[in-house]
Amino acid sequence: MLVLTRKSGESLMLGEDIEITVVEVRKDGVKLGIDAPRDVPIWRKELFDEIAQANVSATQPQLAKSELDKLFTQQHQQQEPKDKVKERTRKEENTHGA
Amino acid sequence: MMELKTTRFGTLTLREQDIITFEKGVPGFPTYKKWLLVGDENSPIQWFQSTDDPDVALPVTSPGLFFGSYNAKIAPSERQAIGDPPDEHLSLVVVLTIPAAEPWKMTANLRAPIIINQSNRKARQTAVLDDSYQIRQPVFSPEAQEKLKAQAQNEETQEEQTVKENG
Repeated sequence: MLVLTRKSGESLMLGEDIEITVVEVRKDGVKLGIDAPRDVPIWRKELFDEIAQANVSATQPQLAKSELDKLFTQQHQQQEPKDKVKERTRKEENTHGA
Repeated sequence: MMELKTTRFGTLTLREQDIITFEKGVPGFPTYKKWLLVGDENSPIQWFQSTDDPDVALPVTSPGLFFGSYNAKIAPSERQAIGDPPDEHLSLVVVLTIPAAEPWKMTANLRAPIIINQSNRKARQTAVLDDSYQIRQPVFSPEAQEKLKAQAQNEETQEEQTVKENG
């Protein structure tokens, strides 16, 4: 890993398009400003750790498939009236569109 | 045709073209790159089964089934990473976490859906640009959870009674 020392107000470039500026240095954290093209996504690293954790816990279900299907069937039956309303609205929209 | 032994589904027969490739692996399983989408089309849940590890299968669902208004923004670079498919070749599913003892508390990862390019079978799990979407969004409303819980407990009681009667 490349390690650099930067002071408040100084910045560094990643390639030609991405600039990272140290905005403020405090005891408990560093405030960074990032200038990057809109199509470069920027995320806090913790997000990726959380996604990885969620995936690992998602592989743990012990329920049989039939149990799961039953759960959804029950839920769908409960929701049916709402869905019908939605469908009708959609049909009406289509009619207006045509 | 190949055969794949899995813990959950037994032995599966598959063709090379059934395999879906995550070139960067899947978060949590960075070295598992080849997966298979398993499950019948009528069921709301399908499974991403790893071809590297028979134990690893991720339940997924189409977000439209439970979150009708789901409209997450995918970064263009993420779409390009799987070959920039046109909308009609792009599928999107979300990973479900299903607690074994309390399945009605299942959650969906709306923050990081899996996008799949159906034409080249490349896929990727990507964090969406909207940070309002949650990694653990409950699938069922609190009321629905209560109902499902009550039903499950009811069935348990009935089973116990049957056992008692038979015994």
